Amino acid sequence: MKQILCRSILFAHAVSFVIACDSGVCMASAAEADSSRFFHWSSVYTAKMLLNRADGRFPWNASGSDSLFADRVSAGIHAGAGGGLDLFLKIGSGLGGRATGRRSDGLFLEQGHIRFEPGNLPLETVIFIRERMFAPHTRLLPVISDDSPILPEAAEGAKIAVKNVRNLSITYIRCALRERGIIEKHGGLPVFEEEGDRLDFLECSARSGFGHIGLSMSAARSSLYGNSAIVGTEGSFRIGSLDFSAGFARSVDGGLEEIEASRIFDIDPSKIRIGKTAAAFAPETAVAAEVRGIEFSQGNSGKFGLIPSYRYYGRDFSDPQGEIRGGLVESRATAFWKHPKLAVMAVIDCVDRFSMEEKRDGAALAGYVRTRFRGGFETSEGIMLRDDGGPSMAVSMLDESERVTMSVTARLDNRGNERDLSFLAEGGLKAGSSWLIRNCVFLERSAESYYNIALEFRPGRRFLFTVSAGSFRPWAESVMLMDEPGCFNVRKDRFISISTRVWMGGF
Amino acid sequence: MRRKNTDPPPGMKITHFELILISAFLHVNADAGATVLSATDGSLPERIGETTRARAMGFAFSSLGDDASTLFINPAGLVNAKGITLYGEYTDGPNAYSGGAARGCLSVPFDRLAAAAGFFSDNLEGVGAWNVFVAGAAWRITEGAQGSFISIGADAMIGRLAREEAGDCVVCGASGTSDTEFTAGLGIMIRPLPVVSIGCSSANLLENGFETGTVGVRWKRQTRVAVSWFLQDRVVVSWERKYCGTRESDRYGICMRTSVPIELMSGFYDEKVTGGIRWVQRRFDVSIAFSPDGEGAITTSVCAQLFFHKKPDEIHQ
Repeated sequence: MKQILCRSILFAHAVSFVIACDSGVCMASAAEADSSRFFHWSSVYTAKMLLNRADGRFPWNASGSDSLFADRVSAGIHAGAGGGLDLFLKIGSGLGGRATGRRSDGLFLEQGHIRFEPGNLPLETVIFIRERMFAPHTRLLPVISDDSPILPEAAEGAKIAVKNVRNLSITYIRCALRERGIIEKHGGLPVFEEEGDRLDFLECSARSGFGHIGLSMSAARSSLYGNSAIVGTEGSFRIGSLDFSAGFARSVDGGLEEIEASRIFDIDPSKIRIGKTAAAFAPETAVAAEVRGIEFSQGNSGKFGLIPSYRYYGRDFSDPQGEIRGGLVESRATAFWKHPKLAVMAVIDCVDRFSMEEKRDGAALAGYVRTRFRGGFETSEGIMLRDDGGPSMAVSMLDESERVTMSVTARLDNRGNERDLSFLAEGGLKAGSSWLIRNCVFLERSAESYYNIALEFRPGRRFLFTVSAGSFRPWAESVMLMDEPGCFNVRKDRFISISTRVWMGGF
Repeated sequence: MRRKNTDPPPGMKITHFELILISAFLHVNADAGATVLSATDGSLPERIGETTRARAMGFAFSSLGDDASTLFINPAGLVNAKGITLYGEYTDGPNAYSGGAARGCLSVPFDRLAAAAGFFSDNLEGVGAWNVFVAGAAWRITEGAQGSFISIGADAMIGRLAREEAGDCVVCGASGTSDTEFTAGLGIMIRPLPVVSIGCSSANLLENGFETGTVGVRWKRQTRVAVSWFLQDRVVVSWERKYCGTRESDRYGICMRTSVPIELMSGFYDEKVTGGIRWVQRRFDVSIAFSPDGEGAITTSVCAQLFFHKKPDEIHQ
């Protein structure tokens, strides 16, 4: 019955779109006076040859004929039929799945949606395929996210939303989570079946000038991560410039029916002790609180501010549909001073953090100063003190001009008797109007050195030719030396890459 | 003072070459029966060319030569100095430079000539204390428009290696042995255009080694060929190829002058990343540089220059 209902909804949308298009108006150019009727298309072709160096009989070995040439083509259309109805489709080939890393040989539907937003009603209905529907950064607790383990490139479903009716918004999303093999088997088209992984999400929120309050419920059924249901509430209260925000969430294994009403807010205030606030919360809960707007400004002295925050993610909090990883307790206070005229900003960050995932437990004090000088020169200095380890210092300098950009960052970590120096230098040089030379060298913890050099030729907006070689990919691997504790996510892999990209169409 | 050199075994031949571009190398074998420490990269003799600015730019410095330490790398670069310059440097590191190394020199320009004198002192565990005195001169043969020129330079080195050692080879009453050797070097620098500079140098032309008691230390000839490219008085990119014995290596360096008087430098050689900064003022400049030693430790070098009479050019083009 549900399959028939889903197919009927899809069919109705499609018929409406076709009827609207039948008049031929939707095929008009963007110069039409009615901006809701439009048609845009685009296509991108990427040809790429990749040579990976491998130990073997030959100094430069292609890792295999399948990956030597990694061509990819994609094409998309975005059409509006008027009356709030629009269609978006994107097909492609050669796409590597994020979960499996496999590549597809043929064309298939990568993304798409049919959206209907009638102008006279605060209503939105969307049938989507592998699009980003969830916005985690608007929530204090990211209990649901497009970047979660189960959602990337997997969701096919429908969304119904009522927006701002008497300051009230309600959103319901139901989607199936498809494995890569099934997606490719059906050419990317949606598959209506009862069985398989699934996600249901319901969110209600009310906003006013004094703040907002929201409630969310989500139930995920995943063959890989298990079944998990989460109920959460979040709210904020505003007094003048002060903004108090708090959120609470509870997860259970299984479906929403597993959550008993009496156990949603499982807080025992009698267990609170000084330095042991987290003892009051159950291990299946997640709590977050933050205060913003504590700021003071006097004359030309700049602006002082303070942001205290608290996060507790219980060790048994299961959130495969979001970005919360259990086993975290963090108390943080961030103080800052900004002076726009002097172009100076100083930040002091006090953190007391326990993280099961990072295997860290202790307090840290980090201070940063950022200054901008004339001519585009900028410096940042930071010092980090920890009670469970030695201090760290970091200095960064950036110089930008019309033709040349160079930045260097050095970090010194004191680990008892040893000192590790990490260094990152990046440069870009415009040789003419179409050529760009970029290079990057990285020294990791006094031990490993990496390098990369790239040449780009971009004569216009529609063509890009790139040659890149080195032992790591700075655009794909994160290196953050100014942060606490610092991120060194680099993998050594000698390679030469030659790629050409051509854009066509109007996007 | 020149001590007796080791006679080559039969069949070996020592030849000397007039240096124009790249030289070929011959190895001199030590006396049979003596223990010879292999002169591998980073060993005692090569450090004389590891100055602070060169280190910051991945040791691609031979065609740049824009500070007084060029005396130890390419003496032809001495003509770039615009005034009397006093240079001092200290290098330290837990492994390769245990005990530290110091360097100093004074360079004086005379119209189209320049002269300099300096010393280098190093101490390596297991090998000994090494002191080198260098005197060099450079002559700007010809000058053209917009700062183009051709210069040649030469230097003479006296090196002394001293070891604490006991045994039959040590003179009664002495605590160790020492050996003093003399050698020379040549260099040339060509700047055909304001945006490019080519340098070539060869150090230790005589390839004299040291013998101290039972230990012999080879001192190999080092030849460098380098090219630097200048962009708008702000950016310098250098490449250098160095030949030492049978080994050759490529070095790359980049330097950028920021809008405040700070230069950011970075380099790459032998799979190692180097970096440094230089603070330039009217009467002095200070540089700091670092490089990994390949054993998980960092070698750090600091130097300072004082300028007398005339302010140096902004980017020494």
